[in-house]
Amino acid sequence: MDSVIRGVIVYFFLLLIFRISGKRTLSEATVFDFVLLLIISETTQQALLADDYSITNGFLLITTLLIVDVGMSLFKQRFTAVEKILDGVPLIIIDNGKMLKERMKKSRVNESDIMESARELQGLENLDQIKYAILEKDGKITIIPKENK
Amino acid sequence: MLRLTAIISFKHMKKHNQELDIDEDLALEHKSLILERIGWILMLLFVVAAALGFTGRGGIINDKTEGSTAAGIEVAYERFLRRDAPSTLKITLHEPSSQVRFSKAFYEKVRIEEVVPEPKQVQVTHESILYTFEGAPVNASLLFYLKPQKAGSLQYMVDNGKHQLSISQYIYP
Repeated sequence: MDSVIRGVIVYFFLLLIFRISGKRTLSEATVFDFVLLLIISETTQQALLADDYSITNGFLLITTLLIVDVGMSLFKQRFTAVEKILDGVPLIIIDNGKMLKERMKKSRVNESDIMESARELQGLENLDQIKYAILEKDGKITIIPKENK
Repeated sequence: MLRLTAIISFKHMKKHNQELDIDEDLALEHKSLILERIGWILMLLFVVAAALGFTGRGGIINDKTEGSTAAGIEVAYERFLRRDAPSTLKITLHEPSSQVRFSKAFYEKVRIEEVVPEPKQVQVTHESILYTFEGAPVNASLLFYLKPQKAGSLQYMVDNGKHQLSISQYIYP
């Protein structure tokens, strides 16, 4: 019983804290972000398991977390408004070649982030070649190049 | 059939500039950004509160003392505890006394891991737990190493047979 409650509380706490921290927090993971993620997972593991390292407890927690996750995915599928609130929505940051600076600033995205994605995904050389840049729900930037690139 | 399914599944998407299918929602994005900023402030306040001691384990708010030399007994304790996290209760006896009694709530919510110096006798009744020490000198300190077991408010009495102190603590889950 205790493990199930712990699992559910930790699931929703992580959901909330990563939603609050914003799309860009761990989207482009640097080495330090990766280390930070490992520390967070280790801390979460201790909060989940406490002093019960039995296989039963491990199985119970894994099952609880997956059931809550499946339940949430079904809930989000049924109610798209909830999905938008929990997962966020995509945001256009370059619109028809025009950079939307205010949106970029609020979303913690700069020109070099956009160019990094442009080079990586489309092999583009400069910002003028971008028609649309979209900050996706998961914090990644996708690029649609101009046709005459 | 496949095309029809695609039309049905993308019907809620808007067309940006008559060409880009995107589920953009600027009103929601704006609200999300405001909530994000509020969330950052709350996270900062949480960390500051923890540094001050509101979440237990150190901090200027957390360390408390009840009683005095005049009262004959002094109890130094932590205001906020955490379940399963070790804590120490220090009792100083300023009068010749060999007994320390805690009321029922104490042993119901807290596991006493170790007592230094070791008591000569421990008696548990329905109402209290009584520790008897052999020849405790004046100004002797007694250390109780504890592990809270149940979350919630913890209120109990401590007495040395003459004076009684009321201790109030909170155990976080």
